[in-house]
Amino acid sequence: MRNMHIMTKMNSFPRTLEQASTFLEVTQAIVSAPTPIDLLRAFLQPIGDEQSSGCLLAVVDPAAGQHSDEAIQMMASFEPADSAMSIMAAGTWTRKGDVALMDSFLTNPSIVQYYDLSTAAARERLDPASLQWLDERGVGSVGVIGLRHPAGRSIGLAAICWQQPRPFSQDEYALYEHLAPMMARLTENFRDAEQRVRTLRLTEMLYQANRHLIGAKDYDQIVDAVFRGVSQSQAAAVSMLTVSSDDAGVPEWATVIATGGASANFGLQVGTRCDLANHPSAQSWINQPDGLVLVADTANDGRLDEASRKLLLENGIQSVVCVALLRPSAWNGALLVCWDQPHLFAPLDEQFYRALSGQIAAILENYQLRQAEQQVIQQLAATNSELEAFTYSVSHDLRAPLRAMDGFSKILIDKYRDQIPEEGRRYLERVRVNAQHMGSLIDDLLTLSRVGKRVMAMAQVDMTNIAYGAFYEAIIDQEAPPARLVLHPLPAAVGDPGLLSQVYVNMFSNAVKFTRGRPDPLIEVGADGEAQGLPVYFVRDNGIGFDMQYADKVFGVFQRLHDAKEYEGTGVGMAIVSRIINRHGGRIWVESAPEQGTTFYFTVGGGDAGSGG
Amino acid sequence: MLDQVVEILLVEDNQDDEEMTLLALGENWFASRIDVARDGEEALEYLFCAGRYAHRRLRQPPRLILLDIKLPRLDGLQVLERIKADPRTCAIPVVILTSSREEADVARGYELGVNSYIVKPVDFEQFTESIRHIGYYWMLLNETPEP
Repeated sequence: MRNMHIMTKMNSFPRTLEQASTFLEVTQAIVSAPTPIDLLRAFLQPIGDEQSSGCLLAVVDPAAGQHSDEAIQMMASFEPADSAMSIMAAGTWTRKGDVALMDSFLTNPSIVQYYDLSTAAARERLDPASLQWLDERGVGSVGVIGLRHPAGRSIGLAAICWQQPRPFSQDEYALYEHLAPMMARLTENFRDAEQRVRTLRLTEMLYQANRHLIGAKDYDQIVDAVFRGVSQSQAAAVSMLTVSSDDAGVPEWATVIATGGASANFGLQVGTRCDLANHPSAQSWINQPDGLVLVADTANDGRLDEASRKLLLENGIQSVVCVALLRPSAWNGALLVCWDQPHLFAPLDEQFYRALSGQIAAILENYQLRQAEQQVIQQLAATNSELEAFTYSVSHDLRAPLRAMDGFSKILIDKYRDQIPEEGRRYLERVRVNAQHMGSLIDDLLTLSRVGKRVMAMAQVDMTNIAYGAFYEAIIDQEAPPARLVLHPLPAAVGDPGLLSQVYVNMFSNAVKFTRGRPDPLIEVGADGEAQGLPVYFVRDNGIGFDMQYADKVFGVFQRLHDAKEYEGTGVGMAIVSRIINRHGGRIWVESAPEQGTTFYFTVGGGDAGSGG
Repeated sequence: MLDQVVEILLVEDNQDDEEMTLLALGENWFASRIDVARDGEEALEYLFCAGRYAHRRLRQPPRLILLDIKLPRLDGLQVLERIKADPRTCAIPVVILTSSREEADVARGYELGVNSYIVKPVDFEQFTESIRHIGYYWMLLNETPEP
């Protein structure tokens, strides 16, 4: 029935010239209003009089229901100077359900609603919470204009309260019914702009926090990074707690391990410990995965247990955000962001703290990984120094007996030549050959271990020069050059010149060995093409080659592909080469075929690929 | 006998190495007299005429010291340090003759002023050859100040 009534009124608007001019005047004023409060003043000006005692503009959060219960924001409010009433402050967010007044106004389909609170009929139409709210503020009557988007969604409402009844005239009804859609759009614009500003500010805060979190290496630095971010929201301190749990996983003790921004009389000091059995609300918050609690007003928040409230207030904390940092197997804790004043939280703040907690969790994970890594490194260092002591003793103690074996065999052969039969001398020579071979094995193993330990002295290396020098080093014991060397110019590399020279020396020794007795022994050195952007060096010989099915054994320690009698050596040479190339971050591979010769290929990366070991 | 000039002091705890060194030195006849100390402490007592060697006269230092590194009690590098730090002995050539190829040992040896650092080869022929070179160089070619 009421809707029908409105329709007829609307059809006959504007009825008078005066009504038309008021409509135009208000329209002009609200369109040009620079702030929400100007908008509200301009909008309610036609019905605002000396009796009116307070006005408010409230908006619905568009994200309501998705992220938060706190869905209605007081966008602007004002009271005449002589008013005895107090309206909610602008910026306040309230839960949809908490103030049913808002709810009942918002869900009422009528655009203009009027309630004379002295009449039982009007009071019956209102819920008890709304009535209480209005009565507490001494409101006699209230006019509410619902702000609905033309598409139907509710943007919010504008309300005016009077101390005395002041019913709307038919003209005023008509005026506001016509003004409301435009007002709705303008309010929405302000709301969205405000939202954008808030989003930007939170994004900036998150950026600042992340920027510093990325480099954070310990709890203090994590806390400091968070503090840098949230200090833009006037937060006064940030504390991080660790939480120990009992066997059943129930949090038992919380201990402050790092804190930023706290002073002697504000915030939680490092080392503060509390038994969570006495802090049931804190205990339950900390125990929730993704737990996040925003306490806008410590003194009055009903969700806080008394012990927690007392602890917070004693340390000057008037509002606080508690972010649970729950790491299933490793680390339980929480982050507290504290203010020395009650703080107004917006729904977006919650998203901010969730994002922040995700970042912190990632950093903590990293931090723990790093700590675990550190532990492994320390263990490795211990093992390494043991190994070093071992190789030292190998180097010294294993060689002395070999020398004695070799030496006394030789002395025996020389001194008692006449008394030892030919066969006996041959046996003694066998003893010597074996002692000497074992000496070489020990030397090569020591070289191999030194290659891993050595601190690399990186430099730009002239590979052509190195290869040339290495060839002569490899054949220094030979009376005549055992093979022809064809050396193509090689591209330079970045690496340790001593180690790279060792690569060529070992490869040449190898090539010389396996080309011995072949017609026209030839060793070709060059570079050909690229692998992963690095030049590929090669050393090719026309020696006896080997079957590629054994290719993986070439670089193993003590791996031999040929008869030890015919081809001497310890089987460590190419393992050393491979380790050197590895340490340079390069790759080595081989191509060969029996009787077809062998080609080794390798690349030299620019850095130390590992500790070797 | 006591007045005879000692030409080489060999500091060596391994009797095999000792015997082989003596054999190599004897074969090449570089020294008429070689004394042997079997640990670092004995070497120092010998050089500074203390303890077991209190009867020795300081003005007869050896012309060459062949020093092993790995020795019981005081090790070779500690002995070297004492020799080079004392004006009475610092001019005596010291050749480290060791199995250790450790770079740290080589570096420390030279830091302390060793005159030569030789790694004993396993091959006895090479070993003899090394000893021969050492003897030839330090006993015949090299000049040291008069004690």
